[in-house]
Amino acid sequence: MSREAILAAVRAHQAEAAPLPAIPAFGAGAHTELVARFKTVLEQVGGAWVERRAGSDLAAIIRSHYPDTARIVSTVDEPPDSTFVVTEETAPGDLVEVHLAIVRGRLGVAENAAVWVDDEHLPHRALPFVAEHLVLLLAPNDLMPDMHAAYAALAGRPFGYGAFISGPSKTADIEQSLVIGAQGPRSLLLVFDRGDSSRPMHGTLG
Amino acid sequence: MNPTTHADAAATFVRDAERTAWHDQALWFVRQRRDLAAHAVPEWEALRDLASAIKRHTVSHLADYLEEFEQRATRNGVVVHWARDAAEHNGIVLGILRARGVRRLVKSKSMLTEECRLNPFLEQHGVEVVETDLGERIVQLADEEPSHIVMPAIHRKKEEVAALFHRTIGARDDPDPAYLTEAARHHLRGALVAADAAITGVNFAVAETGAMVVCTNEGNADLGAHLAPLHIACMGLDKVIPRTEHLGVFLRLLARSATGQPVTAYTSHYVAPRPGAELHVVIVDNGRTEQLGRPDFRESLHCIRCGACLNTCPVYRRSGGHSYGVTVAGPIGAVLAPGFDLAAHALLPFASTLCGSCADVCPVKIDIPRQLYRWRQLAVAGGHVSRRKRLGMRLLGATLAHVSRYERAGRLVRRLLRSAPRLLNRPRLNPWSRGRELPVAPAESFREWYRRERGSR
Repeated sequence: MSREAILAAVRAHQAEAAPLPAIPAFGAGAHTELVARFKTVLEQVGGAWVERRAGSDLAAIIRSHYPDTARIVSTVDEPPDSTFVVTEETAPGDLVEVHLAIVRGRLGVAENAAVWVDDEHLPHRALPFVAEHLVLLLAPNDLMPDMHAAYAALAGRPFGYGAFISGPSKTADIEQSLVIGAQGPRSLLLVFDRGDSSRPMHGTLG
Repeated sequence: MNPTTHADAAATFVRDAERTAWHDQALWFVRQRRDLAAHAVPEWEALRDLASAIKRHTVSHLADYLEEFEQRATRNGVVVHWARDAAEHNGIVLGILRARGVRRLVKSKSMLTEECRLNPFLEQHGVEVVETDLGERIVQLADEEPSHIVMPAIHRKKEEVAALFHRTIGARDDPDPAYLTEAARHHLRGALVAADAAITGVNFAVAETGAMVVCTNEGNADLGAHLAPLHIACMGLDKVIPRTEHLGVFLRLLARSATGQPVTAYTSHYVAPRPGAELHVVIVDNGRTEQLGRPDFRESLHCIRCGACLNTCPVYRRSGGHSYGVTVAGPIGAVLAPGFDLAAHALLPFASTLCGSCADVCPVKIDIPRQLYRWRQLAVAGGHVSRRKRLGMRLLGATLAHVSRYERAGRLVRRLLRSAPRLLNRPRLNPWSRGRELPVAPAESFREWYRRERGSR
């Protein structure tokens, strides 16, 4: 069987054991600095952000940024309500009709503006990719300085699928010209919702 | 089989001087973006050291980590397959597709499946294959191979892409990259919605959790994998890493080294199949264990395929990826290819100035120049280079090894350059004079001048 043949060949050929290094703690920086850095990098990667004042209306923010949005899929427990239903069973042809998806991010990473989203918050894994526009909600308290801290914070969290999303989809495959909106969302709006706690709207924390 | 003649293919490429300069500039621009991104991370060098050490450890415990990965992935509901070579890999993929009656397949970028020549194999067996990464789709429609591991269509100008899209997908003949990307989006969304199965590559496979991590900017890997009922991930066995915490190290290095981005737009972690769907992974050897068994070249298995060595290489930038005639071009490709078949690729290690820039930018600190040099020695020892090159090198070696011979040879060459400059400038006799004139010879060497000015010692 190939499995055994391959593993035997690997064992026969691998070098003398080399040690596994420990990953040291790299500098973190103050929390206010993290928010500022996150915003700067998010803009660099083609995303936009807005700070939501305590008690203010998410629906109003959505209306002002996406005035002509018809088919909204929201996975958070407040208006605007979904105008389009997506479940695990939704067919691909219907999924691509989603105009705007609103999803809560579990945590954000200041060094690269990546936001962690996983299937605990998603009615269908394709949602953040099929939507023409993506709105991510994130509490500033859930910002981590770097990827090391982000993975440490995710440790033990069970998920079948998860992704770091940094800005809208993009490509530079034609003459290195950056084009925002390749196959996935054409825009990404990050809503810092200070009014909310860091709890996700669905599921539980790992 | 004739050795790959990089020099001949490159000669064709550089015939268009303007295009060569454009290609060179485009890649140098990416290299500069890499520098900016790297310099913005204070612990950059520490990360490179860590990445190198983690890889060295992993490769020395590879069998254990592969088994751990298999065990965890299986427990997660992933079906794990093993393939010794390209033919077995292709057969496994076709078998999975056939068992489910798959007619239409979408793919995101995978250099492994390029290496295995999966697409032509599947097409021969009646499967319609659509590459969904924009650059990959361009080269697929143009019936070419990718010329760069990260930017597959870097060799194509936008006017050529416009003409291609006009001819193949019914777009209007408009070279605006934004328009062309939009046209591709509509074209590819149709394929993504209609697909019966999706294939992706794997950037990192985590032994600890069984997670497979895929990095993209366009979102095409996720669209394919999440919309189709079947997802097959194809990975070389060198992709496994021990633990989740190591992703932090590699992901901080990968995109910054590749394109100068702080991270790719999407870093997707596939752990378990979604309800009602299937997730398979094919773990492929295809020459990797052989390379593992070569102490001189083992380090090449540390490669995370960022492409930084291609972008910085003066030879790659000015000769183009297709000149290498192999799936992975550039400096790392010239180290990997002879491992597959030394006779066929014996000349690739010579497609380098050994300037060392590739080693300087490599995020996992692979000593590429040393391995290129070692392959050269093996190529010569194995009789894989021309008689003329072999004799020339022997003559040069003998000359440089003795002071008196070196001095005599210097005097001879200086005299010849003065009295018969055309002789040494004849490319047939002296390939170095192809495309360049030899300099005007000084009247005397530094050593001669020193003796004359300062006495005999």
